[in-house]
Amino acid sequence: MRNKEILKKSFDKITMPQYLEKNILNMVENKSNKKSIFIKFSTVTAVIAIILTMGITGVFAHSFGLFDFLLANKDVTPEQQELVQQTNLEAIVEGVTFKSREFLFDGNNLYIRVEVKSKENKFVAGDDEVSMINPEKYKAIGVGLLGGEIVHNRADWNYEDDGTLIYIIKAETKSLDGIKIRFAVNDIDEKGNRKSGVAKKGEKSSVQFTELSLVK
Amino acid sequence: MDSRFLDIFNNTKHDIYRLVRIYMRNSYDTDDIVQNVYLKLHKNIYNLNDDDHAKRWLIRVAINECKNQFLSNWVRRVIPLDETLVNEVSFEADDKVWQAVMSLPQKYRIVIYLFYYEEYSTSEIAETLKLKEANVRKQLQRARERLKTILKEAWDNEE
Repeated sequence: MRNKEILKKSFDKITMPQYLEKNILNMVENKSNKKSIFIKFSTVTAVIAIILTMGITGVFAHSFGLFDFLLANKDVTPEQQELVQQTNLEAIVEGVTFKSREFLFDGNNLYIRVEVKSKENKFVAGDDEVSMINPEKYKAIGVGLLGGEIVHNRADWNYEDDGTLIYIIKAETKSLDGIKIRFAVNDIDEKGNRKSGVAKKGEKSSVQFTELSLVK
Repeated sequence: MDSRFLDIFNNTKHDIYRLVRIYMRNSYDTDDIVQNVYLKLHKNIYNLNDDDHAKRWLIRVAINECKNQFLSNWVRRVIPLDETLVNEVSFEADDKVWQAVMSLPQKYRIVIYLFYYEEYSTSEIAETLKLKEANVRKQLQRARERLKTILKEAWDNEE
């Protein structure tokens, strides 16, 4: 009986957050399938080297495209394929190359595909993975959308056979104006956690990142 | 809005959220899955006889949604770009019992939750999880042993 009580007492503290409750009721009210997952972005403390190219390209090659992902996850219909736009965003941070060649915007949701590769560093995406590896040999990757009207966004990722990390970032926004994409690389501490981005005076921050405008 | 949906939602929202949170371990997947579960409720509400039936149906749907999420090759998470980003600050960091449960493998977490919180019998857990009852008993026993090791004197050994 005592075990049941201590477990119940602990579990009772977990309750549905109000934002989620509101979101579900709104969805049901509108009979919409809109989903949202939440990230709050705030300021990061250090910035480093940027390689930026921006323009339009007609050619992009990859084994698993943005539309494939969205279709598989039932986020879009085949008719919406025409909404995929091409872009050319590229940055190198701490020897890790981030490339984005396509995004989709339907007036409510923005999806962007990002490829991450590195010859110099080994890297991992998620904190669960970070905790399982030798921290000295790896960097932790972070990719997110911010600025403009974005409040929340989420990341899905997968590794291709050659080790390329593919991200699909989704953000809820009504406009593309002012939206940036952030590419970040964190050091990992000896316990397998991402190191804090806050550096002491004179020291290099353990998180390096760059932000590129999605559209000019 | 449909008053029957609202009644069921209000009576089950915390339990379903908690169940999915325990299964998935993070709030981001949890949010997504819980939304799907209630959208399914909305679509199927008139097939459910009463509130008890609805809750059991919701638990089964929630568990299936969690399993489907794990089957996907794609990992869905939010990645904080530094420690000033995201991550809910809550009681969780200080709650030893919660931490102990969440440190268990997924199969143990769920049986612990269903047995102790939802007060399901082992046969009901077996039916919900599509397992043999003997396996559920074994998982429950191993989960208890692990919790005892972690929680030491806070865990009642008499059970």
